Amino acid sequence: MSDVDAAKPISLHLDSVAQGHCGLSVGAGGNAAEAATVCFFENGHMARTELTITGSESALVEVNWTDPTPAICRSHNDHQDATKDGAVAIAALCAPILFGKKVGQQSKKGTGFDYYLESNDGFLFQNAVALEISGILCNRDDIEPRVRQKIRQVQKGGAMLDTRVLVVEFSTPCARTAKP
Amino acid sequence: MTPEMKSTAEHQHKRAMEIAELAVKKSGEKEHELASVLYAAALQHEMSVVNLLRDQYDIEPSRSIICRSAATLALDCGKIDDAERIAATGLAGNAPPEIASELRDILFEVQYLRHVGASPAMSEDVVRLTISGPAIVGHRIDPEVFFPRIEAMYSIISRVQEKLQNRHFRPSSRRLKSLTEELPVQVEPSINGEFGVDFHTRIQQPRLKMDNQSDDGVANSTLRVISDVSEGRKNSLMKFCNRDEAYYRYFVATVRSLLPDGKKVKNVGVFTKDKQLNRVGVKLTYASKTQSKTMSLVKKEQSHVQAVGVLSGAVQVGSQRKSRVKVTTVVDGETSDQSFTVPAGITSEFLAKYWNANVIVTGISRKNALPVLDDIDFVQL
Repeated sequence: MSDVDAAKPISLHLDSVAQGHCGLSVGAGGNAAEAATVCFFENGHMARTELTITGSESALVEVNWTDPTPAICRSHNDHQDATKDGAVAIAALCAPILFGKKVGQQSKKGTGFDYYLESNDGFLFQNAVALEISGILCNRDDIEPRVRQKIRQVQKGGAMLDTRVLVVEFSTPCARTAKP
Repeated sequence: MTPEMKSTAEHQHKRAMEIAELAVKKSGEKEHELASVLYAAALQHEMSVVNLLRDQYDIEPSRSIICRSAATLALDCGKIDDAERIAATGLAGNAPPEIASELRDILFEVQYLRHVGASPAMSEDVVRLTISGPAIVGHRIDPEVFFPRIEAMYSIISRVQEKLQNRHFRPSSRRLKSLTEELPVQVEPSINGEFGVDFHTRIQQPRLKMDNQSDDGVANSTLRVISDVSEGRKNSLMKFCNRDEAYYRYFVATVRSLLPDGKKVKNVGVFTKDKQLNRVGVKLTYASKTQSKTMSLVKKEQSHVQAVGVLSGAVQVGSQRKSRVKVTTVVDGETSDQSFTVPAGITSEFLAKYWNANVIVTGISRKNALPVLDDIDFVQL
């Protein structure tokens, strides 16, 4: 049995993301947390869901959440967006355990946002670690290819910024971390 | 920078991102006017940070990340001149390579949007295809990115015409003679480093009976098909195809040939005019490739087979039974083959670029029969 299997899961609540305690603003965190509950709900999980994280950083967490209302489900009915936003919520929730830091900054990029762990330097993005976050709604077989794809993406870009990759899969559920 | 300036910069950036998050949410809820106002407000806050960091060349990567953020917000506001200036400001510093690449992408986007604004008027029977990216330099274009996309576009329009006529899907790639006479092509010279090609179709085609299902005409129907694939709208495309899986597969495969590769081609646009003569169009980006992957016909309860290796085989026109491909994999000196049948809708023309190449093939498993080819892509090295 691995260290992750033997450990007792760390209990976390998505409400802390929604309330702005995990580095995201209340607005952003609320949206992301809702999306995560929709992703769990769509996969038939119960309100306390164990999630195993493996890779360059590992942890066993128990994510507590409440069933989304029909209105919440409707507002996140684009599964692609919901999966992306849901993964951001899980990343924000687990970042302190995995990386020892909260999500500190974000910046607008394309149609979405980039996320960075809070830096020791403290000013904007100086010495910050970039978080490459990706979500998969329901396909465990896609995790490894997605992690490889994200690593390639980071490395092709020149990779001067320190980056961590986190891919969340909601059906198992599980997550993988990698350091390109 | 003084501590006060740093504090101001952080506060303004945080405010910009809070407002931008709300703008994205409102945009998703189709409240576009409100989203527009919010994007403008976010940009104002972010610009104050750009101005504080403008001469601080040693504060990287913050300087270039802020410029990328502000330039993106400017695009969201439709302020393409501002986006260009801000991106150029970012590139004038010491941006890390990955951020510099994204700032250049914003400049390509600006080029593309300028062309869309400046293009001569089209009519509702014209479909315009535009291509932009590093493959276009001045008035020159890399033929390897240009010709396959022109061919793909021509093929899509031909098949849309046939579908609107309620014809059965033809396995042959050769264009129908009667349609060829109705589909002249006019090539536009490049404008601002971008190529545009106009495909003329005709609404009134008295010799060709058109299906009453669509009032859109060939040009708008073509745009709809391309949008459906690039945005992953399976049901919409299946409805247009009248549940004909051959047409469905053909359109998904051929539209994917149009998509940008993210390196030589950054943007591909397809435009026409609707009945009210408003310009309508779709912008295909590299991200559209991921969206188009959701168009697979594999059902949840079906299992799939995947093989990675070199592709060989043949597509026999008129004989689905004899149309097969084989993927040969060599691992530790051991060779293994996996064959797939090629379903109707996947033509030899589409598969031509994959022969003898390293590919990843996904097929739908079947009991006591070869799996059916569902998806194929080059192996990313």
